[in-house]
This record gives sequence, C-alpha cells and structure tokens, in this order.
Amino acid sequence: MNHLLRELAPITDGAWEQIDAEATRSLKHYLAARRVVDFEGPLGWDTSSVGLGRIEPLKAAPVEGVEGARRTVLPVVEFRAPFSLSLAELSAAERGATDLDLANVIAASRSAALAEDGAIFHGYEAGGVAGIIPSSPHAAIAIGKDYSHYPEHVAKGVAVLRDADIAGPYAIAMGARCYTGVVETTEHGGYPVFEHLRNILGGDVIWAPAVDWAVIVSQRGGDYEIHVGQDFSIGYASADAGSVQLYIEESLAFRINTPEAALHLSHG
Amino acid sequence: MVEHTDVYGADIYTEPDGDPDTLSNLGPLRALAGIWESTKGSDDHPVVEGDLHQEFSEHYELQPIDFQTNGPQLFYGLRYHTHILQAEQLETFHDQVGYWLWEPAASMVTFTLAIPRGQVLLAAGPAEVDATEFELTAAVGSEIHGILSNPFLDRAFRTTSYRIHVTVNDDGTWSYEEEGILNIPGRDEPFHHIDRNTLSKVADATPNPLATLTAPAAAVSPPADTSLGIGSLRNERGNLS
Repeated sequence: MNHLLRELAPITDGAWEQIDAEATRSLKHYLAARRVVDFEGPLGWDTSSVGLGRIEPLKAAPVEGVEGARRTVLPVVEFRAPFSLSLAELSAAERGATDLDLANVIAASRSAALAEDGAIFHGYEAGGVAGIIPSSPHAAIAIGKDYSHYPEHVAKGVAVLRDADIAGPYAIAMGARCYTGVVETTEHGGYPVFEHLRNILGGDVIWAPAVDWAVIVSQRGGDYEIHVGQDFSIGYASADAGSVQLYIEESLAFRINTPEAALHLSHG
Repeated sequence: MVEHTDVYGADIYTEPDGDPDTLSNLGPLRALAGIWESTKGSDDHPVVEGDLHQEFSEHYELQPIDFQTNGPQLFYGLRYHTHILQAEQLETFHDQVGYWLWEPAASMVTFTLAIPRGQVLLAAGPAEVDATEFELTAAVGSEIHGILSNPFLDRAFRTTSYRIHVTVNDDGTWSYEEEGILNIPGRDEPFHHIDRNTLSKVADATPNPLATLTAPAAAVSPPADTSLGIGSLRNERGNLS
C-alpha cells in the first residue's frame, strides 16, 4: 500500500474500476498542455525537485578560502482535488450497475486538469511555476471575436516565432470560446477557419479551456517540459456512514528552456 | 521396492552450491508448482458394505522451498498442502501435507505424506528432468521408502503398499492416480483404495524466500503504478479535433 491508501477505502474493485475509468476519461478530455509540451515521468511521489544544472553563488563563504554555491532547482508542486462519493451509489457497482453517479469524479477531474493547464499556460506564482504565456517575450497579438480574421492573426504569430528562430511545426491552444468560434466559422468562399489554421500552423488546433484566448506553441520539442512526479492518481482520505472522501492528486514541475517558443493571442 | 542409487561417494559432508531460485530447478516437478483446484476428484474407499465410490473437490497448493542438503545430497522441492471436501459437505474429507522433492544428481523424485489420521509415508521413483509422467512407490516394512501407521490403522486398515502416478497434461493441468493397498480383517482380498484427480491452476507459485532475497535489483518488480496512467498526450488525437 502506498500513500494513496486506496486499499483502506470501503470501495470494491468493480467500483474502483468505474471511478478510475471516469477520471481518466475526464482528465484526458480536459488536459491540453500535455498535448503541446514535452513530458517527463512519472518520476515518483518522492520526487521533490528538478535540477536545472546551474548554481547560484553564495555571498558568504563557509570558511576562508572556500567558495559556496547552491544548486538551483525547480520545486515540485502538488495539486489535490478532493471529492466525495455516496457509498450507496458505489455499492450498486457490485450489483452490476454500470451507470454510477460519478458527477463528483468528473468535476474533480475537470478542476485538476484546469489546475495543471492553468499553471503551465498562465503560471502559478504561489507555487513557483512560470507559465508559457507570462514567460514569452513576444508582444501579444490582439484578436477579437471576428473569427474569420483568425488565419491572419495566426499567420502573423507564426511569422513572429519564425523571425525569432523558433522553428515549427506549431500548435495553437485555444480557450473554449475561441475554439468554438473558430470551429463555427468559415471564410469567404466557405473554407473552414479551423482547417486553414491547421495549414498555417502545421500542427493541431487544441481545445484548452484553461487558456485565455489562445497561445501558439512551437512543436519542435525541447522548449517546454512537464516533469511529473506522481501522475494523476486517486487516493482515499476518509469515510463516514454515507460517503467516502477521495481526491485526485498529482505532483509536477514545469521547466521552460526557450521562453521565446510561444506567443499569446489576446483580446485587443 | 524403489531402487535408489547412492551417487554421492565417500565424502558425506561436503555440501554442493545450490541455486537460490528453486522454481528454475524443479525438474519434472516444475509443472506442479502453484495453486490448483478441481471439483471432479474420484475416490474408492472401503466401507462396511464393501467399497464406496465418491467424488470430491480438492484445493492443492504447492509452493517452492529453499534448496535443502544432506551433505552432498541436494534437493529442490515443493511444500504442499491438499484439502479435500465432498460435494455439499462442509467438513474436511481429507487433509494432507508434505513435500515433493527433486534430486537432480540421482534423477529421483521423493514424496512425503502425512495425514491427520496418524499415518506417514516416504515414496520415491525415478524421473527424467523433463519427464511429464512419473511414478513413486512405498511399501510397508521398507526402511527407506516405507509406510508407518498408528496401531489401530495398522490393525484394521493396514496399508501395505502405496503408489502415485503423476501426469503433466498438455493443457496445463496435471493429474494423479494414487493407490493404497490395504489389508482389512475379514476380507479375503486386499482392498485397492484409489484416488484420482486432474487439477487446474488457479494461481502461480510464490518464489521461494532465497530467490526473492537474492534476485537482482533490476529483476525485482517495481512498485505497482497506481496512477491513472495519463502520461503524455502529445501523440494522441486532439481532445476535440
């Protein structure tokens, strides 16, 4: 048994299977950053930091004639989304029910996915996570709600990245409203904007509900890395007569090697 | 009577180096390692009216033990426990413990049997390392592969000889036929008590303690990953596209 204490939960194997399956499906639905950045791990729950290969000289010497330096590391942050489930509902799984009410699993999965994506795209200052968008040195390109003009905006963004020596292909992660607008829109002549964007980018247009507006990210690799200690897991917290309290948890660090490899498109 | 050749010479003290991994050294017994079950066992045993045929269910567990030595003699073995119930009966019909031992240097299988009705025996028989059939025997009065019974059994149901024939089947099951020949007061002919069963595996064997302790670090299974296994989604189709 590990720290997740799953074996202590009053949950049968059949119910666990349905909970895990629902959480996996929901997480994969909402997660977007993992579709555009490099992934390392899982490195284990006991991983606490990621080494950056650099040192920070220390002003005070430990003794005369000896210099001190401190290794710089990215701390691993933990995200945990608690939720509860009805024991009566879970017991139905053993009677053959395959339609358990797992709305709380879906809600917690959505929150956990948005936490990860929010930290990676926009940063999480309290946790020391620098995000793709705030780290980019490029001026954001102003966009609006006229989605028929998005090919021009995206083409301009790709040109900026190319000028900065950032090679493609590129992907664009779009907030929910942007994405829907693009999918619904055709240009003069009827060509879908969605397809046009894919042609310009050479990569995917990705639904990313945690993103404000949109961000173009190079897909050449090596620019952004998620280092996952423990990948998304479901653990057991406690139980009472009527319900069981669980949580979805992960630990991660986010490393940016090339801040120039992304460009934000934002409301002008 | 089993012919058991002594292959060990004059030095009765020097012990050989055994392999810590018993499961890799069980010769013809390898196929028996594990936990087995059957509901179609067959038993013919004596009753006052004559003999009675009954069917039984059996749970037979054979787990590897660390190699054992007697000076130069080396055994790799399985510790076993078989538990037998009759159909729709809760009480134990038969319980039996002991060891199945493979002696590579002598190409012999040795078998010990102890039952909680006051009877033990030691049987043996030759076998090739890759044999899929072998037979072991014991006889009362033998000083090496013999049968011992408590005084009542010895008077009333005296087992004079014992035979067990093992067959490893192509479908992964294994079968045994065992026969005890009993002398019973008041009967003109010896009674042939015969049990048969074919057992199907329900679980693999657990490696012996020494094998676990000496396994290379790389061979030890890593802790089970209890995550949801999301990992990278880079090569997956877009979530909506």
